[in-house]
Amino acid sequence: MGNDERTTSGDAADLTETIYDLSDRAFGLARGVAGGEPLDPDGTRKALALREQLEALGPAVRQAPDPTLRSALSEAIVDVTYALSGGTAPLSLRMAQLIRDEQSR
Amino acid sequence: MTHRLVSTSAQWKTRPDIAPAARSCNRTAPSAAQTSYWPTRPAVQNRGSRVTARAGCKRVPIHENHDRDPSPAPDAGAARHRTQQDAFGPDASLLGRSPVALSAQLLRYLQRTAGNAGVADLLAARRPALAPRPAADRVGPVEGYSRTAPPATAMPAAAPLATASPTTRARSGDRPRSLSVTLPAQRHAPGDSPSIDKQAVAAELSGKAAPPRPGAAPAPAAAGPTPTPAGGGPGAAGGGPAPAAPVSDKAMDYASAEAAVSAAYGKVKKITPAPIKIVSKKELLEAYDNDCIKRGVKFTEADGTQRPWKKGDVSSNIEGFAMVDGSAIYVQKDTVLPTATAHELLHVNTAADFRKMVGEAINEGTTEHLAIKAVRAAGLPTAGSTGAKAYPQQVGAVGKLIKVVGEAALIEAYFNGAESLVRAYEAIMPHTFAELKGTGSLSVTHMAALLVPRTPTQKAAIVAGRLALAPFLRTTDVAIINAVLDSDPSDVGTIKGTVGPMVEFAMRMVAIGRPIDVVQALAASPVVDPDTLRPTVAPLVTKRAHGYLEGWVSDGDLDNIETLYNLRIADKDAMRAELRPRAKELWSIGQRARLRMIVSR
Repeated sequence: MGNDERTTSGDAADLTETIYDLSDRAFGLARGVAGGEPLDPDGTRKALALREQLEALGPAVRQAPDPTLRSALSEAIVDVTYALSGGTAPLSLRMAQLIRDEQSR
Repeated sequence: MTHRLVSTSAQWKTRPDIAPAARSCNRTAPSAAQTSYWPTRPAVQNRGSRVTARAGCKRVPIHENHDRDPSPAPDAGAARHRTQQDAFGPDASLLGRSPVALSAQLLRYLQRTAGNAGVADLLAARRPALAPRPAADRVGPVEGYSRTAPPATAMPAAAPLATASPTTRARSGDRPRSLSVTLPAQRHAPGDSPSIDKQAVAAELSGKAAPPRPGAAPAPAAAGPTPTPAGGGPGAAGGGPAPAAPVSDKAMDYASAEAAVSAAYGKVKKITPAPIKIVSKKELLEAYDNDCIKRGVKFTEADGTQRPWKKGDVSSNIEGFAMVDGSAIYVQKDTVLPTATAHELLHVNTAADFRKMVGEAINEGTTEHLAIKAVRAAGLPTAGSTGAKAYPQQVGAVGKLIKVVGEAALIEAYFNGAESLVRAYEAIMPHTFAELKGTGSLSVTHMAALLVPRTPTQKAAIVAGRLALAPFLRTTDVAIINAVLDSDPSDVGTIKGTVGPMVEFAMRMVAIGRPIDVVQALAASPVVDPDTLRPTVAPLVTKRAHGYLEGWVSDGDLDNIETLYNLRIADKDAMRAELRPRAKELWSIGQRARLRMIVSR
């Protein structure tokens, strides 16, 4: 394995972990809003920064061989949009499932 | 038809000659409850024979209480039978109605449980004039369970249920009013459950060709990707990649996904339809924008200010979303993941606690694993043209989890509750499930060390530990045993060889003293070799079945006898020979018939 390949592999792993991390944060924001905790000004700033980060990663994610990243990015953007809208925008698929699960308990 | 003998009718309460304890009609009621109200019967049973004025027929209590008769005569059953004959007359029949007026619904039930011959025998026993006609007079198969319809010209005029198809009856408005004792109705073969292809029926009604069933060989001229062989059904799927697997760069249509998922997991859970819309990227983004505009959603600018949503505000990175009211789930059609539709359908059908208890990685990995398995079993593509697969790391982690707890335990937990998975994992592994779940994110980097499969020796020790609990064994223990055995088929021989003697001990203990659901679970477990254990365990099962016929026999007792009779380790011939004669001991004609039906299969 050459240095270039190792770098590419490492970059891919970094991208994966970055996306997963950002996606978790977005999911956390959406869950908070859905749970009745609207974003405060600081939370809004963080959410906007998160949205910017996610959108910036779009081109790299589209180039990545793992399509899971596209799905994770999509879910994250829908979640952060939901949070910024105060819980009125459409739901991510995972948020929809979470709400379904809560309602069915 | 169970008559509650604890009923408090005025007549019952005002009878001073009946001991109060007898009114509860339990097994421990004192024999003093017997009175002269009906000379040959305990008072409690006399009550059940009162005439039901509204129906104009005689009701038959179906409970029996031998405890009330401390010294029953050897021919007690026959005496009871004669008493009932005296009370109701020879024409008394099931449900107190004339046999020829049996409802089609009841008849179908009896047919399913006892077969046409059984129904005819029952009716003939009640009224000799209704004895079956000679075989030569019969139209269509009665005993042969043939699927072949009898010739239309040979159909008797007085057999509307058998001759008219359900759709014909529905259209004509005719209702089956009577049935001949000779029943030319079709019946599926024993053990072959009747299946209705809803799609085919719908297609027939609409005059269209039926779509191919999942797993069925495709029509030669069928368009679209060439499916691979079904691979031996769902159980064969989910293993290594099939050679020359078809690929697709589109999410499968909803109908195909639902058919595939239902075929694969319909026995574990009835698959609930989901309002999934498979649309193009453009349509998906438009739908998102339109929904936001329609509902007045605010868009937040980069500076934090908000304004009404307008077209084009949606991010082009979105590939799927759900309406807030649950009315629709949008999934992008031109995705590189053909399993996307099945994946989302599975999410809709997941147990409510699964995602929360197992975390995102196992939830998504399991969902995709099950989607791949279902789609592959249906002979449809599971990967895009680039070889792309969804959640590859998470699916890999779930594959390792299956090597620990077995696939059956995972599927059961996925659809019916995650607790069983957590319990199995923690019983088998020296870690908690919380450690495996980690932060609950999609990351799987911490899981490798927590999913190292146990060695065959360790597995045998786990199974032995559970079997040692035999006097107190629970179904959850059996589930753990099954999980261990299901984790790796190549280890089963080693495990069973190690714990063999303990299995017989456990099975004997359970057959004698554990609840019936535990008996059923252990007898069905792969750790039990029925052929080996039958000689020693079957007599205990038969003895236990006898026990349910002692004292007051409830419908639940007959349920238990049926469960025991159907155990893999039961000796059906012995049970039939010993239990069938005891049917006459039951005073209730319904229970007598049912017991005979149970042991006649």
